Amino acid sequence: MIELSRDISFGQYINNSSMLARMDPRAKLVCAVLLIALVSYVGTFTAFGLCLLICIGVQWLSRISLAYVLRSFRAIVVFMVFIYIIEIVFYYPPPAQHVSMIWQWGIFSVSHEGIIFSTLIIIRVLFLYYLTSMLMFTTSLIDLTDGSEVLLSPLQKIGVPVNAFVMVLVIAFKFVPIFVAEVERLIKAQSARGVRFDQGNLFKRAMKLGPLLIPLFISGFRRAETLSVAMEARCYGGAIRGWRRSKRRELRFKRFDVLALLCTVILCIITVAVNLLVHY
Amino acid sequence: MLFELKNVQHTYLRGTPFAVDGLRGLSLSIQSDQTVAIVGPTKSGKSTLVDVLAGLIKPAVGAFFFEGADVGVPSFNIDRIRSSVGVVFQSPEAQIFEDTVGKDVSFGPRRKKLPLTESRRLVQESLEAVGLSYEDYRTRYTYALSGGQKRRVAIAGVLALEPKVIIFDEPTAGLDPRGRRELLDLIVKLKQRHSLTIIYMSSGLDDVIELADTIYVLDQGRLAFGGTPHEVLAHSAELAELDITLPEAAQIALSLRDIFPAMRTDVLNLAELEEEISKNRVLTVKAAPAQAVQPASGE
Repeated sequence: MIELSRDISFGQYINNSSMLARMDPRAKLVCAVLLIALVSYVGTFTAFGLCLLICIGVQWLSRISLAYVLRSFRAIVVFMVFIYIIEIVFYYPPPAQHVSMIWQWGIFSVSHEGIIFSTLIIIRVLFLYYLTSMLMFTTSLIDLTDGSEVLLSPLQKIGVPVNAFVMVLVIAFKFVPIFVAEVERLIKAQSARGVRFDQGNLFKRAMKLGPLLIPLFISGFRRAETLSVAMEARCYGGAIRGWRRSKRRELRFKRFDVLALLCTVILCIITVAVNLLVHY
Repeated sequence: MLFELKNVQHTYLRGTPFAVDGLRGLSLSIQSDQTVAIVGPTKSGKSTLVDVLAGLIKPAVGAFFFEGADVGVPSFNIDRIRSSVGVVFQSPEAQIFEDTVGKDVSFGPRRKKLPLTESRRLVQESLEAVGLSYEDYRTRYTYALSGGQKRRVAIAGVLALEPKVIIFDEPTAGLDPRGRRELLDLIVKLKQRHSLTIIYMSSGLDDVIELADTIYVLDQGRLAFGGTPHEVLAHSAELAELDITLPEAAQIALSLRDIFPAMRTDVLNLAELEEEISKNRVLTVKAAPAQAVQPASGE
């Protein structure tokens, strides 16, 4: 009845020691960035078909149950449908394009081109969502930090505090499940004292969540304080000249990582070529 | 019968890679006006059982009856359970969510839309029942209270709902011996004065052995065994296997088995232990008088 963590699956790491989970985080991040760039760039159905094949491969490598992954899409379905409708009825074609109207009423219109354009956008967003959630499902927080630290390290040379930024990002991610558990606890405590969260219309239900926010913020601040004391106690950010945090675990490229990188690059080139050559 | 569970199962995060079994086929029944203790190691399903008994989760598999009515049928109004069962959750300070003591204790009465005078009377009575003065504590901020005070406030918040049953989920965890003693005395007092049914979840037998009428021992989401305190203590070997700490007297009795193999472990307190020891000494001396006497004469 009250199980938020069952529905909120974004950002969860599933440690099933699959090839994808054991991959070197640097290689995995580069692959993910490449694939994300790919689906952002291509714009034909054929190319998206190839992207789907790539995703099926990724899904197979991850060994995560498909039903679970698809369930994580449930959270965005309503939003996507809404965006889809808005995209279609407010489609404004580029000036030179011929538009075949299907239906028109005031400022709202439905055209053949509008439907195609909006469908492509929705497909693109779904791919982006899939790729990012797959990255989160298969990468532990530590891997994610280590990988992004290495990849962003060139920025350090021009004075960007990469370490600190990555740390902030990681802490933010880490707090999501903690907050979910906290909300669950508060919901339980309040329903035991007579609040019904599963009754009333959407508006009424949203109103009932209001009183949860203040205790949530208080406990959040308290946690942040404890964390900062704990970090300071372990000399995090110690201001010694030439000081550098070392790693207990060195990252090392394996054969699979190189192979995966190569495959990703080749697949990206093929898909881009198909996108340029085939126009539907 | 107040509560009756038949083969109840519950899995958290069902259908995800993180699925955990809370309960797997638990059957037990709880009579009204009793003090029932549910004892089990961590992960034995105690907290899940709390949620089921309080009507916070409906078991997916198995049958759950409240006052003879099946909770599983759609026509059952879950408010019936929630209004008669109060829960003091594990680390009760975590269940206080309002900023002042008065507001927190009056949360239940306000939710029920009781008139102001009635709600005020309930808050006053509840606070005084847990030994906190109404005038002094009403306006205090909840986050400035000590651990023991927070527990009292949490209990007062539950009392203000005028429940018939109160479930305590490991209420003495993290309290010093004195705080623990005071809390246990408070529970006994509340039970007598408000004629409550008490359900007490605990990881050890220490707290509950003199408190409970019936003790159920859980293991991995199932009922291991149950009965009166004497009956449960007789299973000392199984209890040790489950890592459930025995009360002091029973522990001594168990260690004395090396000397007196016939020693019974179902002793609730030191008086019963003493009686058992003297009984055994007589037996041992009678059975082997020569052995018992020899060392003394040899010296």
